Amino acid sequence: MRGTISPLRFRKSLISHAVSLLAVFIFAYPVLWILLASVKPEVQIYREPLRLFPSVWDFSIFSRLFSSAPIATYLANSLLYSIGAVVISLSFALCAAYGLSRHQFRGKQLLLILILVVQMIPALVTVIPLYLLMKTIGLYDSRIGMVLLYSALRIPWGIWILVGFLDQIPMALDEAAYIDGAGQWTILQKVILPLAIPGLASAAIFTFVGTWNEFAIASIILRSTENLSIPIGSLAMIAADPNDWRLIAATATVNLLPVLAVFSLLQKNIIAGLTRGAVKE
Amino acid sequence: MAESRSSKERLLRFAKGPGPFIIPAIVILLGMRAFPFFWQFFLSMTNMRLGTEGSFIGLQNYRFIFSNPSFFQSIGYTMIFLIATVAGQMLIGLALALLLDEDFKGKSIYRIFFLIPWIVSGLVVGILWQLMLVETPFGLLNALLIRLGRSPVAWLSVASNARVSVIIVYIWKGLGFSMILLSSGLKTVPVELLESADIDGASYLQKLIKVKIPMMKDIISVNLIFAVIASLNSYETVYVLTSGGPGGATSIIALLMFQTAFGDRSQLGRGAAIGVIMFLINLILVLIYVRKVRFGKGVTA
Repeated sequence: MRGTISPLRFRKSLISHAVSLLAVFIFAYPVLWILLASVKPEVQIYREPLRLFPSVWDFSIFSRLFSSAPIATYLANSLLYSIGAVVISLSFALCAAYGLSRHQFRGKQLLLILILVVQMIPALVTVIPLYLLMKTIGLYDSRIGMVLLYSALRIPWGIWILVGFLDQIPMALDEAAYIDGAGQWTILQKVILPLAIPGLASAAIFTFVGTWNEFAIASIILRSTENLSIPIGSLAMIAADPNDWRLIAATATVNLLPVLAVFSLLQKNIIAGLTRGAVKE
Repeated sequence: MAESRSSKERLLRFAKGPGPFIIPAIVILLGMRAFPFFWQFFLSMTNMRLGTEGSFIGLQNYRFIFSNPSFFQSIGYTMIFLIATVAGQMLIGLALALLLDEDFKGKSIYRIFFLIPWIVSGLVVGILWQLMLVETPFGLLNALLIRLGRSPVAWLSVASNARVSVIIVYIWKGLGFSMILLSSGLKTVPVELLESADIDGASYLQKLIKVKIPMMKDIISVNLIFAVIASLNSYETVYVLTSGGPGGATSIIALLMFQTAFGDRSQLGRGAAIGVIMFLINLILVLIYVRKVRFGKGVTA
């Protein structure tokens, strides 16, 4: 009987597909709609709002968007903030994770718990002191300040992901290198770093996407047009032209595409990392 | 004497061993994450405004907040919002996780689509749903209603509708996270238990309630705490959708903090008091998580 599908199983899988497709429609239709609205002829947005695919593909809005608005600056800034946060926060986090994973010392458990507590309380609740802090140290409304702030805020999360990862690398490797006369920094660079790359990659994806999408803190720290990140700049552009749906859709598309690209390329790592971040295996 | 020498030795060992690796990160965390918590307590007892130093006023901000009707409206809606968004995300997330636990082709592709709203930024979700819910005939949902021969709905301009709309948007955005967590929880349910339930003639629903859910208790608590924290501290989506309106009807507490501190009157001290209240709620949730879930069973790092 193997190879034949029983009618009951066939009906069950049919229902599964039907429910899944309905859910896909609810989740993906709005996102797809806004992406496609940017390349529709304007009348179609208003005359046939439910229509998904454009009759004619018209990409002119993007040339208008990039020529009239400082959106290229916003994109460059967001890249700087996101990549800066990835590099700086993960450098500090990797060092700290090395120290925490490779050594036993008094108070280590307490330190790990404190880092976890700090990580889980969103920085958003301290937006007011952070604003005053940035003003006091002269980094308010500056690109460097934004990179440093994002990096600092991401460190505890990086430590937690990486400690879990480094704990799985056998200590015997460290010991072998130590016997060969390697110091700690050499061991970290030559032994741990190459093996930690999958963990670093997973942490990098989350840090990148999280920073790219961050709105609340940037909205308080950034003021000048030349410093705005893509979400803050987008909102300013939309507020200036709230009735041009095609422009709004195009702006949203520029926000969305990098994240969707990262997600579609790396969705397996993202799904695995999501679970790992919440539950200790 | 022996005691102090041994602690000196310990310090030396720490300085030669993990110290140089850990200390830089700890210093940054103390300055940028821990210090603001403490500073905010102090700020919350001043009447500081944007551009003024402010002076110490004791607990007046708290007294004001707890006697202010708009704060109570905000707290009331925040509670409803938290319960409804978290329940909606977890129930629909569980339904989808159960669906993906079935054996059928192409489910890994469906799963990617289910996750899309979660990956979209809060700002874009706000913009997206603004266009969906706009009350002119070319707003997507109203166009759909008109097509079906129904009359259009004032999704965002009537208080009671706006309250529900905001909740639906947050459920839409957040349930992919619940789905992934609960999916991984379903995978940990031992097959033998389900098989023996089958032999006992248990129905699908009985297996779910008596076997699967009890086995997933831990992951459900994790999901619950993460979802509550995410909803409690969300700001930009509702800011874009309604700015807390109409008439403060959808002003969740995070939005109230921002608007108090950085709105027209820029009362930083009073905003800080709301920040302290939010901090304490978050802290309680995190401590429950740390105690019960992470370190509950003698997990060693």
